Amino acid sequence: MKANIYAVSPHGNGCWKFVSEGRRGRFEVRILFTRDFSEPDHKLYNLGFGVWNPLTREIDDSIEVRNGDMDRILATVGVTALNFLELNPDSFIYAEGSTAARTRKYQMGIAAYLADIPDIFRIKGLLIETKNGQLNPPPTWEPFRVGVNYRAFLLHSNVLYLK
Amino acid sequence: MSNRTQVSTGPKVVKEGKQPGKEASLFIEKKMSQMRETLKKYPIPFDTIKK
Repeated sequence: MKANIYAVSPHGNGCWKFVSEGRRGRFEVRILFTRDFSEPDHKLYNLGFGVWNPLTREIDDSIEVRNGDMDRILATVGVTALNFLELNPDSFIYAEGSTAARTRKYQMGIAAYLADIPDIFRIKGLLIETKNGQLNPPPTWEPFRVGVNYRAFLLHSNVLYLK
Repeated sequence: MSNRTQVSTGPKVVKEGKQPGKEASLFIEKKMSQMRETLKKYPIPFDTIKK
């Protein structure tokens, strides 16, 4: 990928961190991959990221830092996710924004770099369309398409299934 | 006292809710709850999605 990304360092236990630098200062951002053990037959991980709050020792994905580098942050998270999949090719990474607006930002970030993502990786989107308050058609996980609004995303590697 | 050098073996993924010092435990709980709620309604068809 040709994206301009931040230098990311491992923090242990499925956590990576980097520093966002912009017009409002420097903020530590943490990326967390959490295994969902309620899916014992599949290695499903939740991808979450946000600003690290050292006082509460929590990650906050609800605040808008407005540091002017959202594209770079999204690219950094995206590359980190691809690196995670390279190391864990039998895994699935689930991503959903804390709000619909944030999910839209993820969608735009994926669309911006879709052409640069190596072919061994697959991105699916959860498409939920409604018409007159009814699901239409039934929700599906489909290959990511630019310009379509998705509820959530699933990233996985195809490398184990290539012949 | 040992003079052995501590060598990092890189990040390891551990069980949910077992982060050291319970860092980000509320964040993890929130994200996992959100994911499970969505997947309960719209499960991932793992067997067909791989291709």
